[in-house]
Amino acid sequence: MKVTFPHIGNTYIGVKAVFDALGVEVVVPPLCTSRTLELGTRYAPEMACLPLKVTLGNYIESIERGADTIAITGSCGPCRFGYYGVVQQEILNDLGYDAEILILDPPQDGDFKPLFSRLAKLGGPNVTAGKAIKAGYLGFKIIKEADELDRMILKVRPREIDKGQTDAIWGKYRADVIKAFGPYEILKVIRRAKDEVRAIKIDKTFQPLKIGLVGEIYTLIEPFVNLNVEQKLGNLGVEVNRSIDLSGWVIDNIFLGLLGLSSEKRIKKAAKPYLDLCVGGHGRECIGNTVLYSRKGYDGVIQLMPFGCMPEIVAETILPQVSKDENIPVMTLILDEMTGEAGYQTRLEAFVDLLKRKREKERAKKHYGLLLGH
Amino acid sequence: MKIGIAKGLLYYIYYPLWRTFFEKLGCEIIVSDDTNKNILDRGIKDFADDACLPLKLFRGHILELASKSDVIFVPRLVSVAKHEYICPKFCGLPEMIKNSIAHLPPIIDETLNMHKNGSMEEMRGFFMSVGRHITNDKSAISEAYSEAVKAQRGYDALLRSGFLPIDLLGDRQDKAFREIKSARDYSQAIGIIGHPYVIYDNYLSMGLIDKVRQAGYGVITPENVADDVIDEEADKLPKHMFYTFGKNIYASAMHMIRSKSVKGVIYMSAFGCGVDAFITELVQRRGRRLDNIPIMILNIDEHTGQAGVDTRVEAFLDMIKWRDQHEGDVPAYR
Ligand code: SF4
Ligand code: SF4
Repeated sequence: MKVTFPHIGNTYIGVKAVFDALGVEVVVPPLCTSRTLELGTRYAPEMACLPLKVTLGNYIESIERGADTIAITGSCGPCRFGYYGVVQQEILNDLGYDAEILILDPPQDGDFKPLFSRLAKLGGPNVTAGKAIKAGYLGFKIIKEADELDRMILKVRPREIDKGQTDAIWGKYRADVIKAFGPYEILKVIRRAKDEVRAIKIDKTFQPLKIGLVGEIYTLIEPFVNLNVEQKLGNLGVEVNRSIDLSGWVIDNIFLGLLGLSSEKRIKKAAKPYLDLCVGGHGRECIGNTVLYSRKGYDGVIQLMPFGCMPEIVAETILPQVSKDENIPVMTLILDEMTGEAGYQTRLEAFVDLLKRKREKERAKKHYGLLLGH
Repeated sequence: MKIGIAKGLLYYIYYPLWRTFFEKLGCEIIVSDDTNKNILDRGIKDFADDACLPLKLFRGHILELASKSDVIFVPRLVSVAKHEYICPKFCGLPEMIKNSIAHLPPIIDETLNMHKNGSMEEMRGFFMSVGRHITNDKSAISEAYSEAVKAQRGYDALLRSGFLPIDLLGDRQDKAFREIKSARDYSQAIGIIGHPYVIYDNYLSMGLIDKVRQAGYGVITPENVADDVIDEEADKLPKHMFYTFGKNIYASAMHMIRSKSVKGVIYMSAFGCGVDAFITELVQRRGRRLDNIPIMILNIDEHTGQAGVDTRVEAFLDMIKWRDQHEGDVPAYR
């Protein structure tokens, strides 16, 4: 059995480590390129959401490299994500591939059996529960450290004195990490990159604009799909904070989710006046995080979502009200296979300009108020 | 008290239930007009572009009702069956409406969530909370609820016997049993599938049902198919299809094809429907593997013209007639 999985941000780094440690043969899909997207778009239903298309492209590219089993997590609604596997399997069958998609659904009504039997199938006969837990722990640790590196980069990029230094380190790290074998080597690559980022000279007096990213998880954490939004904003001198990262999602969905718990009461509480129940995906979190960013003094919020994303459309229609009440500009960026580099960059620049003007105006007001002794 | 009910979304499925309930409690029901261009345009204006057409349209109906009603009924229908949902957008429906329309009258936005066990007790609880917006008299609410359920059962039975919501609701109601024939009175039938608020809304569907009937075919829709048949077909999927209407659409299509009770299937899907994106795919791929019955997907958006739909439907029906005359040995697609 040769296992593969979809690309979602840093997932591959951790998942590869887990399978390496377990001795399960794994095919890491090539990093997403325009070919990935093209394959997915060609074979997926036109109105399907973008993540379904891109991940379908991942599978095909992995199958071309010998993968025969595709492991994905699932859900049982309310979002479409839970049915990806079924639709994609139909498509692969009709294309004549005999790869099997293994959907790891969270247990319903406390019935863990289907999940465990699928996990056992993935691991094969040589994997014991103890081994699996240890590998899983290492994988999680790696994803956590990779996320930490991402966050460091977000802080350093707008403040670096020699422009382009961060990007160079990031590029080299991405190339190195995919080549590393086994959890320990992978960790070494991550840590080396961290040291390099730490060594970058920054302008400590610079106060960058701060933008929070909210929205659908896949578009938030897969740089290919969001056209490197963090890098683009960082190079416009903006400090970016991403409301969701993979390690947070793993904690929520794999650990707590499987037990039927969920975290992040704070976010739910902040969303409450606007949306007091789950609408699937990260719709509620999108609202809650926007409120929280405003309270933390961020200058603006960007909502990222694939075209047609159901939970995010719910959020999108509510956000204008949140923006008004909380006095924070919010821009929605809808991504699909047609999203072009140029128009995208222009929108980001326009938004950053707007935030700059707003900040200056508010500073001037404050200053003026001080002069008058208010 | 004047209760506004929008002629959109699940109006076509639950109107008898809602209407009876409110009327028994002494309310006056204000139903928005049949969909027209003005209603749709108002719904679209200042609203998310990428929202699905039925949602935009629903918003238009609410805008119509705003000036005419004391209260508007916009329930939060999270789930109407065990382990199923309707659509993420139904979960946030009242919120989307409230936050995108200024100056609305009060809204009754109670939540119905039968996801856990599909129990009718949830339904009763839901109506008890709805009723409390109108009166404190619990026994009156309870009685109204029982009457409402009875009315709904009668309606459902008529649907299962072959009538369609458009025959039974609104001004055709009286004519239904005299003039409109149920699907069983025709020798041949076409399956028309899709979300109820698309196929039964004459404006959105461009009169699709009438058109097919006028061509001499009976029309069978998911609402005509018995629940156990739906479940049996749906169980053949590798994983439980957790959208109630998605499931009904898929399973009824498979049933129609498997039982050869239709000559062809027309799937009408409205712009931006996330559920249809998946179900159209399953219906086409699995339907074609099942049998050689033609399937046509009709996508409509706010710019779709009557002429375009007419042409495609006519061509489809012509093709079916031609196949019939040539003993059906013609491939169903392309
Ligand atoms: S959250 Fe959005 S993008 Fe993800 S599966 Fe659901 S609809 Fe698709
Ligand atoms: S099921 Fe489709 S049409 Fe209905 S609300 Fe959801 S996305 Fe819109």
